Amino acid sequence: MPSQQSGDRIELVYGSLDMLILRTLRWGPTHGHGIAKSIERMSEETLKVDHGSLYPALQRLQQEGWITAEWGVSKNNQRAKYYRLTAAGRRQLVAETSRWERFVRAVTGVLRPAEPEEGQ
Amino acid sequence: MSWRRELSKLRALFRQPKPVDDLEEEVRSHLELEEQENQEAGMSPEEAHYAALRRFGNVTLAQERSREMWGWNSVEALCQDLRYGLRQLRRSPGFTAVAVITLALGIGANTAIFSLIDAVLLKTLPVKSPGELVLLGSKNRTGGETDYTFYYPVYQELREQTRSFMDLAAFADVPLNVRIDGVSEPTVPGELVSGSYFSLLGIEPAAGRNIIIDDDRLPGQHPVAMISYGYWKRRLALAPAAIGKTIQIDGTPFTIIGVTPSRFLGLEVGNAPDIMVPVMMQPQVMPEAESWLGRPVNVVNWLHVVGRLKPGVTRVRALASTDISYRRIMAEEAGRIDEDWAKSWLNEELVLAPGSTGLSELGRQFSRPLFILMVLVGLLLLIACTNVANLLLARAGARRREIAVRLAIGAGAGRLIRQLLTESLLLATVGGAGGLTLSSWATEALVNFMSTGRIPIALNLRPDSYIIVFTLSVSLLTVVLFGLVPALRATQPNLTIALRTGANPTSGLTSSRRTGRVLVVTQIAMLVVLVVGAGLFVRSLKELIAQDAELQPERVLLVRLEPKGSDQKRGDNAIRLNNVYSALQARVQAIPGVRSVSLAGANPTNRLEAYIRVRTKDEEVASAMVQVFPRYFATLGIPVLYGRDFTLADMVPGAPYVAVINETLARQAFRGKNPLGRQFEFGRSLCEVIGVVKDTKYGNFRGNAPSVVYQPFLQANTGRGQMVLHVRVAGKTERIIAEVQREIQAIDPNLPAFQIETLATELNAALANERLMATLSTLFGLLALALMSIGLYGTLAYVVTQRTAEIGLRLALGARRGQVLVMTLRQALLLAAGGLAIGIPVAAGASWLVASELYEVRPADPAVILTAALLIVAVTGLAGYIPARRATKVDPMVALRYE
Repeated sequence: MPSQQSGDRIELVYGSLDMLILRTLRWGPTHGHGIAKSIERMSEETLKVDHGSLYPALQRLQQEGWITAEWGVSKNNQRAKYYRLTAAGRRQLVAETSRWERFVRAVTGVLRPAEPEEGQ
Repeated sequence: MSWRRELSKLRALFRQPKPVDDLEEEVRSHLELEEQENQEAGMSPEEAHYAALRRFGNVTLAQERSREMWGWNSVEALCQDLRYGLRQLRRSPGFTAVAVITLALGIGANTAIFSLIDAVLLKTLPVKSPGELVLLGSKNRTGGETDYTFYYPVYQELREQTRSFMDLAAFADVPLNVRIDGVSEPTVPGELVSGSYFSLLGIEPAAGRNIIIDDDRLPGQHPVAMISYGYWKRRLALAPAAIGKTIQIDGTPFTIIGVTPSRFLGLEVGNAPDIMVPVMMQPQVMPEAESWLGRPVNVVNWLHVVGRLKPGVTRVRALASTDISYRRIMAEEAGRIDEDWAKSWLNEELVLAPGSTGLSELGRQFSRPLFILMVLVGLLLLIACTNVANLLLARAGARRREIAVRLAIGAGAGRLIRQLLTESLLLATVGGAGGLTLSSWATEALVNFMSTGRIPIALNLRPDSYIIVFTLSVSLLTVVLFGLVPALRATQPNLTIALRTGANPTSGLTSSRRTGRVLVVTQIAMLVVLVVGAGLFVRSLKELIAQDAELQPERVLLVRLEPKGSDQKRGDNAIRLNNVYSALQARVQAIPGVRSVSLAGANPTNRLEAYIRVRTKDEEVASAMVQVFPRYFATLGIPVLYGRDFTLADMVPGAPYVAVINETLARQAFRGKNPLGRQFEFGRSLCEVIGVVKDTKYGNFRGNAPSVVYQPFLQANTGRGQMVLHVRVAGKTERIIAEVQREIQAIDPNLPAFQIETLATELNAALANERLMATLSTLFGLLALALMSIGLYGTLAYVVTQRTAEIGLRLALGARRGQVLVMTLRQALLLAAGGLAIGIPVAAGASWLVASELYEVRPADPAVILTAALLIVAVTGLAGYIPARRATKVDPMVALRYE
């Protein structure tokens, strides 16, 4: 059962899913399933994404104008909806990423303090 | 960036298909891809399918969340609620119909009365910046009412001297005798307007041109007229050729120069002139009167004066400076008249009233009754609301299981309350729309009712923003009033009990039944107030009519006679008139079917002014004076208490001065001593009292009778020769009218006679106020009574249904059917008793607030209250009897088996 296997899986921090989706789409347009798979693959299966929870996020990103959607055909000749990053989405990704990095640095700094600075 | 999201949502709302319409397909494709991958990883097709679903999570939830992203949750929820509400209401058409009709009646009555208040008191004039308009009046500092009229030279002086006003304008209404193309028209309501009138109001003509300053310079030199849009349409079919057409007004040809705009109905509310002519043409359009453009011999205030304040000048500042001019003018004018009068003139001060809503005699006459009626219809609305609330409660009982299920599967109570309130909102909306429709013709009917016996009241009844806002807020208020309590009640049932099938239906509902009973008691209490109010007004009107009933007013004809010329009672003229009138009296008396004829200087329904001073040895009393011919008291049916009536001998020139006085004056001036044969002094003459007659009200119906001196026509010290011919007939009046007219023509073809009416008609018109109150309060009382009985019937019928099992059990255990009947009826009567216990003290207290509108009946009159109480008990009993009868018909076997 997934719930038992996923003991070491981490729930997504609220808001970070948007960034991950945008990041995934940097490589090129893909469908919802592809996005889910690629997030899992990139995080080496650490991040747990209920595939269903992708879809509200995809709607939100469309509304912001960061991605667009259109129907296409997958490798296996199946109809699927493909999402594509827009120029605004690209800018948003850059901004989000730098904000995220600052956030991570700050959290890490708190959790694991650097060498005492008085010694310098 | 969320504005952009809102924008996308807005676009999505109107876009077909929406971005999420293909969501299902997208999710399906997602699951298929996952399934394929799983199979490729070696799962069996079935295993792959379920693994994909697990991986996806809650499919419905994901879809719903995605959709929510695109909607305004509240808007969609509202639409959903509305659809659901409509379905619910359609499902129970009986309930819906009763609720909607009840609300429509309640809201309609409120809107109708409010429309009248709006039209009579609130509507601003359709003129330029009505807020700057001010109406001029004057008041005596020693007291009395404000008079909003002046005579011409005073207006002229004021206009020249004022520095606070941009300009002043004058106007006066006058009935006009018009001939168009040689055909005589019915009397047309007309208006004399000053040249400054239209420019001051800032009115653009609908056609042609306005009357301007140059049309109003020299007496009799400007035969031009403007007509109203209504008259243009009604009489001249909107023909452009009407401009330039010549019409005859009292024999003088006038040229029509323009048409006033359709929305302009004059400055006096309820009195819309059809033809307007310059003030300078007054002598031409009123040939029977003297010229009023100078200083009339008998001072007549006849012109209304309106002013437009200069920018930045307040009414208070304008008053301060204009009052100084006014007093200076009055001091000068007082120098030209009798000393006796002059004193009171020096006490006159100016009054400036806001003019934005125009001059409203109607407002003064009807404002109190209208506000009382507004309170009464307010009560009616409350009763209607409690009724609907009660219906909703009963319905909530029936829907208890539905609501419990919805609560149990997780609907929020808030959401359910919103749903129930949406249903109420639907009811109120439909009811409000119905009310608006009802009110539009109810208002017309009311105005017709108010106009009986006089020139029709022309009001601007077009619904304006006030009325729309009023109806809307009343409708919304009703939602809160009737919807909220049932909604709150309904959403807190005991779930376990409600859900258990076959549970005793009464057990979970005692509290909602209690609410129902509280509502019925409240309703009956309000009903008591309404019915007692109606009772008081009806009693009052009955007393008012009864006080004149013995006079048989339908048998008395009144004809106003207005001889021409101003010096009617100067020298020979007075004797000539005296002869004409005496001859007329004799000739009319000779008409078969005429009982008694006389003439008097006053109309029995008009108020008298106490303008003379009667001096006896020890008193000086203000009194009214009426000049009469013999047999006046007999004709009107006023009993002569002591002494005698006038005789022909008293009427001849040179006869000794004599007077008849009424009881009030006898008491005031002679302190209870027998006044017969005593003398009193008034003006410059000494007068002997020859008789005392019973008091008469002279229009002051609800107040005390004025003190009156009656004098022979020739001896009365007044310049006025206008008289009212009083004719008492034995049978029908119709036949006599024509003969009376013929006799008047025969005696003096130039004697204008006006409006032959019966005294009954005039009394009716004079009592318009009282009839309006009595009729409407009765109507509202009956409506409320009907509503209450429907509500009570509904409540009791519901209670009986709920208690079927219990009643069955009682019957099975040997209770007699009579006992069951009494048991149910007792409930109805207990509710009535509760309502009466609260309602009677409230009604008694409230009735003191309308004491001034009552006549010969005390507020809190025990008879009225007792009648009201009995009526309500009877109706309650009746409304309770039908469900009670049904309770006795319960078949114990069926009822028990049901359990």
